[in-house]
Amino acid sequence: MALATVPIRNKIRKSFNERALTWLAVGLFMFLYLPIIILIVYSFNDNRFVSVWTGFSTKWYGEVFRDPQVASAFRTSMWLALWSTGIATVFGTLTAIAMERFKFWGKVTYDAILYLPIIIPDIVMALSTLLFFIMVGVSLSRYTVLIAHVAFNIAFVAIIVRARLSDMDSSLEEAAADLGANPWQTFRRVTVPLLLPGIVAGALLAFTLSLDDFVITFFMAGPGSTTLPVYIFSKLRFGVTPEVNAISTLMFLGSTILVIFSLIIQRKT
Amino acid sequence: MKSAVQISDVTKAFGDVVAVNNISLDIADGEFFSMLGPSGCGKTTTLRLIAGFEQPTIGQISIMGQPVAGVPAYRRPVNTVFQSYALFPHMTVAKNVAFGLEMAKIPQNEIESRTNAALELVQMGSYGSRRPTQLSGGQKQRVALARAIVNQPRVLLLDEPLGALDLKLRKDMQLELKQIQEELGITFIYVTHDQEEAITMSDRIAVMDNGIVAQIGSPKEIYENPVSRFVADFIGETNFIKGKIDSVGETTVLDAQGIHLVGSTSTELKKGQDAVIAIRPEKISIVSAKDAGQSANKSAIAGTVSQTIYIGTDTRYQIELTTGDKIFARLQNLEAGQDVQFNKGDEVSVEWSTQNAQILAE
Ligand SMILES: Nc1ncnc2c1ncn2[C@@H]1O[C@H](COP(=O)(O)OP(=O)(O)OP(=O)(O)O)[C@@H](O)[C@H]1O
Ligand SMILES: [Mg+2]
Repeated sequence: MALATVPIRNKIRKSFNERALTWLAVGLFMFLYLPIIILIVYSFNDNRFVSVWTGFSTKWYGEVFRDPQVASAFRTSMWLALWSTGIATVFGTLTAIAMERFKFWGKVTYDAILYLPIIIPDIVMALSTLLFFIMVGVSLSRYTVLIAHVAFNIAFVAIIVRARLSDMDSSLEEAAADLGANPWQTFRRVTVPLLLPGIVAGALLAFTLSLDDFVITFFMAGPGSTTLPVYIFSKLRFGVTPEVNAISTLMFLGSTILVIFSLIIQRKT
Repeated sequence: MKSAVQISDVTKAFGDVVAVNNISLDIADGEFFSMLGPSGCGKTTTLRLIAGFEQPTIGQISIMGQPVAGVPAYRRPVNTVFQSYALFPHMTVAKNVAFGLEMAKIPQNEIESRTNAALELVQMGSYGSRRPTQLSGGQKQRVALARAIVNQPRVLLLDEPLGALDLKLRKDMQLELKQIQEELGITFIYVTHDQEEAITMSDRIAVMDNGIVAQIGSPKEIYENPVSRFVADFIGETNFIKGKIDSVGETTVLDAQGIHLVGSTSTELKKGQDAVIAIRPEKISIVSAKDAGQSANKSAIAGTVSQTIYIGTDTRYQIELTTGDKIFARLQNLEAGQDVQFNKGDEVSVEWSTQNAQILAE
């Protein structure tokens, strides 16, 4: 008798567990995405006050595109993201190769320190970088922001590229050398093509992180370094307007596309 | 004769692990040289030292008369067929094969014709546009071979190049390889686990054991005159009977529990030393106990047939000797329908000629 009931009881318990977990997941998704959905919806609100829905309109988007300050902030954001991604991708990749392939003095320490920017809170990063710039007497400008962005992006690129590198069979590089390819040719013809998905994924992530960063940028910001997030923050002092919602929606869209891109590239290979 | 590769007193240690222990090899130009030995004995490490992927801890290596210490892998006139194939996954089969030629800046039309010829040679002509991931293990191995051969190196290093092939293809490729080697006059340094492969293909074989070279010689020398119990055991099937050295001289006499067995020896042995006599199963003749008799240049020992196994060309007999050792003998089945010559339980005497038995240190 006991033998017969146990499987049934297990089945009931299992289906209960399944249902509970499904609802938990749904609840979690709602919690994560509902605010964003509301934000997106209200960016199409006709009314000047965000909390009162009066009708559908795209006028705030028109306003955003006409606003010279938004255009300027957008340009600054892109400038920062492009440069910091480019620089961080090159150095992050080289760092990953050095860490994975070579032995050098102090490697273990360097290894641990490299990933610190990922772990330590943004605010600490921001403060310490700011203090550093003040100490060495560099005045804040968009270049100091760029340096700070490169600093944290290198860590992310290095981690992603390195994961790919450690999966790569090192005998492939030996095979290239065996066939007469010098170190540069081996790097260009074998190492880089095999790492490319990792490099691109790392670059896309870096680009997104740079676009989205607020804390570090805000602390480092000198004249001419108002990025979109910083601009949104400054606008908030006058309350949340549908215009802010519209900018945020556009940023959300941009970041999502980049992240999906990065995932597809990593999945594909 | 000119040397293709000279390895002089080379040791390679990885931390505490001594992978190659003070070996010296002199491989002649155009030779088919095999390295044979159990897993982990240092075969791959030796190839990697020649290819330039590892540097010797001690010792010197020369290729075509030039010392190669400090010469990077890409400047050495050798190519490797890797144990793990190491095909470039992001290139087609044809691009893989063409890689070496491109690095050597060969004109494009010549690259194409040579690539095609190399792929034809390994029967992979129609696979040029595939990716390595779309090939079976055996096909990968053949592409790896084509990729190395196409460069016409002076020395080709092959690390178990036929390991993943089925028996039929393996036999075909063995012939093919041997033919390629003779036609192109390339020196082959060939690593294998398979002693039969080594014996049938090689001009000379080095038997390796735990980082040292146990014996170097022609297949015949190694098979007929093994210098150690390890070599005799590793190459082909061998019977061992234990005993102590009774006397040394023109022939050596082993005392196996009172029975005197005579054999030849190529190593220094001392009277009273523990030793074994090694006899190949096919070199043993069996006679019934009643016909037994000592003759001058033969050793004989009595025993009982404990098992007979029909294996097609031969019948294998397991015989339990009066010393307690069990040995195998094989007699050829010359006549069709011939019955087994001896049956289980028969009292017999096994005999062998002195020159067919080796006495080796235990
Ligand atoms: N990079 C390395 N670091 C440490 N030990 C190594 C390294 N390469 C090889 N060894 C050790 O050296 C010894 C010889 O290895 P090697 O690969 O030469 O063996 P092998 O004869 O080719 O074996 P197999 O037939 O299994 O391929 C082994 O004990 C192995 O563990
Ligand atoms: Mg090996």
